[in-house]
Amino acid sequence: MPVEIDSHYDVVVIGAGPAGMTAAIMLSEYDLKVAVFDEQAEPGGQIYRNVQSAGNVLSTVLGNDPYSRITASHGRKLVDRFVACNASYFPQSLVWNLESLSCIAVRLNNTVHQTSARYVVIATGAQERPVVFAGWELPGVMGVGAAQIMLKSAGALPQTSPVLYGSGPLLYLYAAQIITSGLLPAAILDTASTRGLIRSLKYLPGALRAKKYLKDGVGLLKTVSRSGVPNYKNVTALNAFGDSMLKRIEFTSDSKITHIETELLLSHHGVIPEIQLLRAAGAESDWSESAQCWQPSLDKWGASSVEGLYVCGDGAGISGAYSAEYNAELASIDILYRAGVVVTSERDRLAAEPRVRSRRDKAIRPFLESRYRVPDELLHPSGNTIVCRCESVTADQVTTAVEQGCRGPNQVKSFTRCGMGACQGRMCGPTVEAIVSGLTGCERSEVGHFRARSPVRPISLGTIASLDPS
Amino acid sequence: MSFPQAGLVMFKTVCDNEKVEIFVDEQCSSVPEGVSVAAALLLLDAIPLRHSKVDQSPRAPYCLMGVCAECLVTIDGKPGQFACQTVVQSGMRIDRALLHDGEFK
Repeated sequence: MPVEIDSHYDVVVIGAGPAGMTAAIMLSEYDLKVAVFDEQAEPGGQIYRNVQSAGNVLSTVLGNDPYSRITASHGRKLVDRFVACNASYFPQSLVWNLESLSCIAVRLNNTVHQTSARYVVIATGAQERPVVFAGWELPGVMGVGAAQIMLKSAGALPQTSPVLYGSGPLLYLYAAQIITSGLLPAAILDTASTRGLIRSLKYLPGALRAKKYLKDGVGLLKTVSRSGVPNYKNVTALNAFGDSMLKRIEFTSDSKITHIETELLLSHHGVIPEIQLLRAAGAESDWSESAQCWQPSLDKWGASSVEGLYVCGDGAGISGAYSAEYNAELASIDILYRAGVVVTSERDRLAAEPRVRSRRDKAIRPFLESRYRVPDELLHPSGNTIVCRCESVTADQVTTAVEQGCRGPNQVKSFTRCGMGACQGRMCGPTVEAIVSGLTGCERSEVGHFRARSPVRPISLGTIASLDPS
Repeated sequence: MSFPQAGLVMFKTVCDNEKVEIFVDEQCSSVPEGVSVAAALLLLDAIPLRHSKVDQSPRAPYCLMGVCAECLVTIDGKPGQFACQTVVQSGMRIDRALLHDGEFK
């Protein structure tokens, strides 16, 4: 592992998940000088988190779950190839400034380093879509993704039967994983609407091109339904109650109100691209109505509107770990072409296979997006439900600001402090945009989003001051 | 060892990793090697991790992947560290940002 960050690289890759690792492997194979910066201590990203040392977790917790076994085995091979490649890998490093390709600031060991690159590949992945409800800030309420990280990184299962709330593949994957490990969820509250189910059927024929996912999905749903865990459908109006900890939830399912006493509620509503770095770099993004999120504007190679800046993996638009590899290959091939390493015919020859694979792999997405579409009513909270956890700003306060004339998220931020905290608007941004859109009648694409500025991750002034002025 | 203000143990580990000793609010605690500080605090049931500086409400980690900033604690004297992005080290000192008698220490 290199100790020093050089002042220039051919390519800087940000993130060491499936996309970042794939790009680093391919680009370094062609002798480009590549640096990989990643916040985690080990490569793998979220999907292959701790995969190198997970033998323990796999045999004790997930040994009987075929999906987890296949994923881990695939991930381990990729991580092995990444570790063996010639790219300079900097774990526990944080890229907090990407004003331009010639001004990249990285925090490593509490010191700031500056570097530059001819090309930058953003492979920062996704975050769970924040969907707010009354009481979501109580200890005892967490993301399903967080609970799965506890499983992957610490081999930890909930001590009590959790209630799972929301929808999407990860929710059912986690449910199946803990059921296989011998822990039954207390209940599953599925928010996916019957309308969404019906709408999704027209995408089913297309989804058949990615049969593997359908087969995996049916397997997970079978595990869950066989377990006998109560599965409430069409769930809306969830409220969580408690004093210092979660104690009780109340929700509506098929027009009937139900109460459950629980100390752990795990929420999941799909994932959305993490695109703060992209925005801070001044690259464009588009609102996707089908995926209900902002996605970078990219060409067919993954090149953004900023010259030399590429995005691949879930940060380019949610399409999963396998697509992340194919997209990373396409971005790498284009970089090799532009850097003069391969000629046009070689580029097109290299790109043929990943392009076919990518297309086939993504065929499942329209089906999943409509099947697990988050119902509009969940995106428009009201009353004293907290929207911004950092600054404790409520839905009412955001609504009042809009009624007083705020036309966009950035004005709401100035009026209410919503989005000014340490998460930098990652947890409240989508909700603020939805509220503004609902009240003003403007489309989400017109409403816009919080501006992202450097530093795009919280970093102390002391650390910034460590920067060598020369 | 447990933390009195906690209601229940939210997570338990079923793996037999080696253990390391860390200090949480000056109490010596044994946690699995290689886990994040946030995971360690959850396993110890050291919940909440902080009180909101705005409305004093108790908070715990929400995302565990460096997004929500609910797990900011003081690590080895440095405040405002992401507990979920920091791996536990033997002898590490972690102080939660908790209110004591209505005030932050």
